[in-house]
Amino acid sequence: MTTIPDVTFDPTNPDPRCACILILDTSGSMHGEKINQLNQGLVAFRDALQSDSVAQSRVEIAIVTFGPAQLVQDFTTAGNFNPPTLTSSGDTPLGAALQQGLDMLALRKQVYKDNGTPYYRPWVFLITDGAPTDGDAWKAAATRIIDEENKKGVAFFAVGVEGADMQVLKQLSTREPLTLSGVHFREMFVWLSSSLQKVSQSQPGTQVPLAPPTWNQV
Amino acid sequence: MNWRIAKASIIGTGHDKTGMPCQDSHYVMQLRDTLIIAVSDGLGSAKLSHEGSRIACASAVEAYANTVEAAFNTTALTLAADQHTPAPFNYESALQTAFFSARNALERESNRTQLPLRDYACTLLVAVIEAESWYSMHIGDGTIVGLYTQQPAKTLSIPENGEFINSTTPITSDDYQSHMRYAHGHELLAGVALLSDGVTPMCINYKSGSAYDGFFRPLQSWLADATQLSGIDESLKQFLDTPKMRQKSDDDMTLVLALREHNSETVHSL
Repeated sequence: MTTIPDVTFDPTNPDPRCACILILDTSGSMHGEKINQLNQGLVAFRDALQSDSVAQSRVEIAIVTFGPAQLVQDFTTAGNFNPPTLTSSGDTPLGAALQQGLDMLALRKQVYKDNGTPYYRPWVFLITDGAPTDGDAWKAAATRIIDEENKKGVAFFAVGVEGADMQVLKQLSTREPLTLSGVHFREMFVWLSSSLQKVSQSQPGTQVPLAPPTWNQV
Repeated sequence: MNWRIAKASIIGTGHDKTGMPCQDSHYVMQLRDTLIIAVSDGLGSAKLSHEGSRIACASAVEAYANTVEAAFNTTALTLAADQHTPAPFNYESALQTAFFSARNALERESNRTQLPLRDYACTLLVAVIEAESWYSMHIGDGTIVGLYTQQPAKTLSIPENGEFINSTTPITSDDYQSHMRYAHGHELLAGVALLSDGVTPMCINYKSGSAYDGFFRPLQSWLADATQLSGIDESLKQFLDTPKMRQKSDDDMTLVLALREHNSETVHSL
């Protein structure tokens, strides 16, 4: 029988990337149990992603918190992700935070394109427990999100924690917002991790069926 | 002209896990001096894309062969009747016809089963190799690579991806005609390789689309030096199934390699 050919691979081809930006409400109302659970959720998120050898090199995480809106973690692969300990203070400039997150995604996509890195549709994951305090700024952000969603440029998920203005969240996306029951941040992040793991291992053309979230209430 | 051909489609480990069948197909036909090769990758999101890719490959190759036969017969008649020089064969139009036939066959299947056309979504690559020229038509991802004796492997038709890695345009899409890409060249190829996107991460540069010779050269020598061709497809399958390959991609993989027989390289048929 013929032997099997001994080939070498193109060493310059990078792994495909799945960018995920977390836009997290750290306003004063998140104080106490909520912010503690959110922090623990981020640790669980990291642990779950790092337990998956493929996801840890393909999933890239960034974090924007508000308020005020600020970048606390620029894009990094899940393998290098070290969750910050967030503290709560300030108001809820939702519009500014969303715009900043979308700007960062646009930049990231450009980096992928410049390097010839293949990428999956990026995810934006918003978590808030309040109503926006930066006036109508969220409306412009909503227009941008819906436009991107329609172009399949992002997958946007809004999660309302107790106290969130669900009417605003409904208008942010074509997708229904989810309500976190209690402070089940950990369950939510484990779900997010497993969804990202599935996406980052999916095949071209595949629409990845996500497990129904178990951490929300209808 | 004689060809040595090795061909294999194997199921991706990702598909195995989810119970999906192998959605890649290939089809090879030799018609006098013309070698016709088709490769198709059924989209993971389409339920019957394994059927789709099989139908697309077979329909396209057979339709192309029919066009060649019809032209051959016409030419024979024209020559016999001692009329004017026959019109040159239009390769681009013959390949277009092949793609329209593949699309029609998928539409017929969709009508027959009363299932949406998108359930049969697949890519399609067809390469036609003649004595001193090659022609290709291509929709979606996957790659066609030219193999040479004295120079490195060269991409003849690059993959078309959407913005994202998990998106491409299948032959079942409404605007498929505007995504069909024709290419041709007048050169003596030692051979050709057609691959589905499960094999591209190893050997086709993401950025430039260029072929990586360190991948194709050993395959070319392997096929050229094979002492017997029975079981060659099985060996190619084993190669695709090695951990080294599987580590790079858990998608279905298809590779069709065709090389001219050494001793017939300089033979020109009339």
